[in-house]
Amino acid sequence: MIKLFRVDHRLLHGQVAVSWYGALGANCILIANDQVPKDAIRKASIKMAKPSGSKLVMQSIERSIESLNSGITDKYNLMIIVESITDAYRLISGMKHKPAVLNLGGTKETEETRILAPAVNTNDDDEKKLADLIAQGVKIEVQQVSTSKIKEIKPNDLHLG
Amino acid sequence: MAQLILISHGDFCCGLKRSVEMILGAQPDISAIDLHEGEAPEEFEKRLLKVIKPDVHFTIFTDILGGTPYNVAYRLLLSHKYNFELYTGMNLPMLISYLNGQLVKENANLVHDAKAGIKQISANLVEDDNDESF
Repeated sequence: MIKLFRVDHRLLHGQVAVSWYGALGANCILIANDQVPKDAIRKASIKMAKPSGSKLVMQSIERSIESLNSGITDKYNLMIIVESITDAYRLISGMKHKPAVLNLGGTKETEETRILAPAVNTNDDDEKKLADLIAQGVKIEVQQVSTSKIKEIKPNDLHLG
Repeated sequence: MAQLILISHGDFCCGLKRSVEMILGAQPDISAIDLHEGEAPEEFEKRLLKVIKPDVHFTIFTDILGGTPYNVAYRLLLSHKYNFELYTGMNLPMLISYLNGQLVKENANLVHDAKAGIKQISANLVEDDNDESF
């Protein structure tokens, strides 16, 4: 089952992931990203940060969708981490069973983004995608670490042009 | 969360608290008591006793075995007047392990986790080509 579906541009970042992993009782981490599987250095640093004893799978969004839909991941307490809202949207769009909650941990700041919540920077397209996910019944929550307060993102929080 | 007290020579304990707060958010149940340059152990002990809540189980982390902060805490332990766990050699992994343990209501193996965080990375730079799959 999916314990956490998180957007974090740092992916598996030091102890943040370890803290979530411990708090959730997870036993498997899926890094769903199209670049990472092809990037030996990023792969190595992610492996270095993985919690001890955990299973860590790094694969493309496409392959992640296949794995999730095949049922092969059902036996794990799974933590899914994607880099961006766009990737989260792609992954969720392909999933037969949508996650109940999308956790926003952090997204990169660019010239087009505004601050949706601390550490969460979104552009118009991101916000449209979030609104669409809410409409599909996915709760959007901003929460940095498992002990911090949850802020739910409602359609009213989003700029929809 | 149960009270945790970090004690050290100088600012180490205050910095360690700030570092873990940067990772895991505000930690109101962690106190940091730094031994000042030239401070007498008795003075330090007084300041330490001030933050201890009586009759409540707590934990103390110290920086180094045999140093003044450690010695003061060790004497308190031997006095049997206080009910606490005492650890030395504190580091960020130890502290994070403690906080995760509190969160999941399980006693983490703090010594193991503190040691597990110590590695020479450059000496073991072997390419790990074993990618896991489902």
